[in-house]
Amino acid sequence: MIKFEHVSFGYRGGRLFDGLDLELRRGAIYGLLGKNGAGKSTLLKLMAGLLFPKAGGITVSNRSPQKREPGFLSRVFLLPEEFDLPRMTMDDYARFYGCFYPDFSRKQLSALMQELEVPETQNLDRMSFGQKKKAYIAFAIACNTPLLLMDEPTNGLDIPSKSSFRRVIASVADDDRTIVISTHQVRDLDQLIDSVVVLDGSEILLNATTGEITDKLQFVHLDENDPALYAEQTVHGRWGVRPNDSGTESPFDMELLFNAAVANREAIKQLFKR
Amino acid sequence: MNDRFSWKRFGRLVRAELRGERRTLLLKLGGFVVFCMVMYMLWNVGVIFGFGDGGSDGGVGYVASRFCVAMAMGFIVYFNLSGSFKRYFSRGKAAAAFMLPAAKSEKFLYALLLNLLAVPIALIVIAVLNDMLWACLLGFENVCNLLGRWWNEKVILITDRITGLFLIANIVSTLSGMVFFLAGAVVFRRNQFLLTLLANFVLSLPVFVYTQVLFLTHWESARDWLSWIAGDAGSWAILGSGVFFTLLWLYVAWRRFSTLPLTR
Repeated sequence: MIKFEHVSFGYRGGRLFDGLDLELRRGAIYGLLGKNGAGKSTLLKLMAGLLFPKAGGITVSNRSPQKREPGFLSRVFLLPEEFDLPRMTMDDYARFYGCFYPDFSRKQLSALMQELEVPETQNLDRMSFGQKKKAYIAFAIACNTPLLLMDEPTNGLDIPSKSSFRRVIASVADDDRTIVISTHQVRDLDQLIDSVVVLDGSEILLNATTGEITDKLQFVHLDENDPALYAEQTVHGRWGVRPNDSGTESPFDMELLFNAAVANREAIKQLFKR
Repeated sequence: MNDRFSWKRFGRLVRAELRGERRTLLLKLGGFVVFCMVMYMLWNVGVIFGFGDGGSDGGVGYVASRFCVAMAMGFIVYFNLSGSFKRYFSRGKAAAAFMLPAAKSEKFLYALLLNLLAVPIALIVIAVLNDMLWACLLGFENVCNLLGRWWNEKVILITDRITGLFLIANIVSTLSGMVFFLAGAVVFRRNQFLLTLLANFVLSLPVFVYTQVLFLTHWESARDWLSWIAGDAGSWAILGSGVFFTLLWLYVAWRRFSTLPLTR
């Protein structure tokens, strides 16, 4: 679905990616995790063809994003972190912009707006940031593009809205649709994603499905002297990540995984080497 | 899906973009209407209240109001041209503008037609209608009649050999200046109007300096050159360079637009 081959990219300040390789498969919900400034948004923009690699190649559904052909653009929707919406109601917006997407569903949009509790008749530019974000999320999903890229979609959403967002995303996931969600708020994606990409220090530390992760790692309560890839003290005791040598399944904890990947880069890379 | 230019999709793009920009456009044009009315009213207060009579051509007040409106119109046209691709540099709008499923050529043509053609024509129509209205109210000759009369009488400041070719050459050369601002709108990432103005100044500086030097040092050659430029051969030269620069700036604008990355 998405393939990065030896991609190099940098802003004026310096080089961000150098020889980056990444492959994302069709029909999965990816969580793109990384610290601030790790390059998550840049990676999404490269996938969408908004930025051009300095070297290497990117293909999305066998097309080159940087050509920005209508056939490509109608199959990709990027929900940016910051956006302005025009002065019109969602009904007008859907009428004027929905027609550019062949699989756009007006009915689905109404259902999503209802689910996310956004009034359809309110002018988009008069909505609060959270309302606006939910309205745009609803539109993005209703476009039914095979690739949906979301940059920090839960930023600005209240707690019930975050739950609604997770519910909505889970309900629209299918084998033909790839969803890539970039976030630094890892808890927001718990129980939602089925694959994780961890980006740190301008490289991909980890690209694996949650199944592969729980096969190879254990997220467990640890004793004081138990060795671990990463551990942290909580009010409930010491919790951490360690290699799953016994093959026992444990509940996947994305925050622990992320911290383990960042704290113990080489060990994690070695464990998930393909 | 057709990845090249599609008129049907272009129609949809125009409809969507105009709907989004409707308010801004109406504010711009409405503001110009108000400016025109105010200018004509202020400059002709004397005539309105019966203190003075400017004659059939309206006198100084009427000429001054036309001058102010023409200046404002020029400013709006060029300033508007500098904002032709503004949304592609806007933090909040750029991603959506780039990601809208339309061909690059369709997006470019939309910006071109709206800012190079539709807005200037709308401004000219407003200015002429405003002039006709005030001419009717104040009893002056309106600008259309006046220009028609001048054309028939061949009144011109520089030469008496005013021809269709001379007019066309100057219109094309004005167009090349407008397209230069359109190119500036996509070449510069911010402060497009000021930077294009500066670029215009820098690029035309050698010609200005050369002309000044020529007039100061070789007066007779300068006079010959001036009469050549006002003649048919000069008109053809202006027309040729106008066409050349129009195409050049169009090419520059298109090249830059078609390879423009997200900048913010």
